[in-house]
Amino acid sequence: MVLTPAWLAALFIAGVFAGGLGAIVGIGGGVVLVPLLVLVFHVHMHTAISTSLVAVVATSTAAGGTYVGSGLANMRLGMSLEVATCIGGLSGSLVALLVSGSVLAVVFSAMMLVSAVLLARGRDQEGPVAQSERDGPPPTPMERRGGLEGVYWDDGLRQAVAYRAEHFGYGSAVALFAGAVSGLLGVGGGFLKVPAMTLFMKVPIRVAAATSNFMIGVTAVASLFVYFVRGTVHPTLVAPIALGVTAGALSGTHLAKRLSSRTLRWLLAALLVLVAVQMLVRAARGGLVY
Amino acid sequence: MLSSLLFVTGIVLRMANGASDTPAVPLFDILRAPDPGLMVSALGVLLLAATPALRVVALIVIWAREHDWRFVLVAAVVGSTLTASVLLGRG
Repeated sequence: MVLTPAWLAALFIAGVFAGGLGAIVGIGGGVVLVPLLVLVFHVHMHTAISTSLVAVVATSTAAGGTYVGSGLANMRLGMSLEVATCIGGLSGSLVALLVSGSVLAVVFSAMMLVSAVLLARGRDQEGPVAQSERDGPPPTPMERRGGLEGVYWDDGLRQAVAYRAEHFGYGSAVALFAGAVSGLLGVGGGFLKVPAMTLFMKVPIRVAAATSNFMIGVTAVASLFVYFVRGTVHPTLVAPIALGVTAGALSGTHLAKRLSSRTLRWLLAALLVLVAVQMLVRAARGGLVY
Repeated sequence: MLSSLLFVTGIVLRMANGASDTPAVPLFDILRAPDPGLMVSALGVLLLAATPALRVVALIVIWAREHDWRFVLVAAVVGSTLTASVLLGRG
């Protein structure tokens, strides 16, 4: 790959596109960035994955301060789930380095198709979540006071809402899988973590999204260090991408408030399907060996 | 912010030196990078990667001050996993 100003600008724009889309539609930039790098820039799959992991860290770092400062992110919940996601991420990255780029491309294509379905089925925005003390199973030692409880301010209800994360075991199991996917494919895994927290653990969506944003950075680092040590990180490739993703994520956060995400979600879902098919075809023809 | 500054500096240095390739730089070879621009960019990657890890360390300190030892242990396990990823990456 030849280093030219045009090439650097193209990488930066790719980063802005991935970061902005991730901020607007809620599916992380890695799902877009990895196929962009492989299909357009002809980057090896392992390099694309490690580059994407850096982008995930950049996104999490850029937006994390906002979420933590707002009090939405539940740090105890996030750290508790991180035990599983980090182990998953570490394992996923070690496995990824043992398999060929073509195999990873096939697995990545399958993940893109799943993401496309999730995007198409997603909702525009979550309404206020009414949460109240409810009957349920007695809290486990992990869930007791000082564990996974929290309070956040709901703008819709204009009141403080209390919640308690439940079924920590189920949440951890999905977190482990999300971490493995992250390490294997270079994505943030938020599309697995957020549903795990909201559906299994009964955490309000805003808290889940904010906590997930904090988590994806730590998870990505668990995998990134493996790739970094093994020598698949190309700093000159990473630099413009990371700068672009940061700019895109920050801009996208502002744009998201003005744009209807529904049309964008459907467009991105269609794009993901097309790209997934293209990656599958190229992998089948052996055209992903760079 | 600092990592972004390192990225920009690294790119500028590489372009100014007429570099035309994009080599990989392993973590433990950063200081032996072929050119200054590559080393600066690699340091930017390292600093960016260190940020979430430093957040984990900060949480350990915060929770220790609150005497919340259960979550100090949880965060310590996460920190240990991050350390293990560096060690296991060496093979």
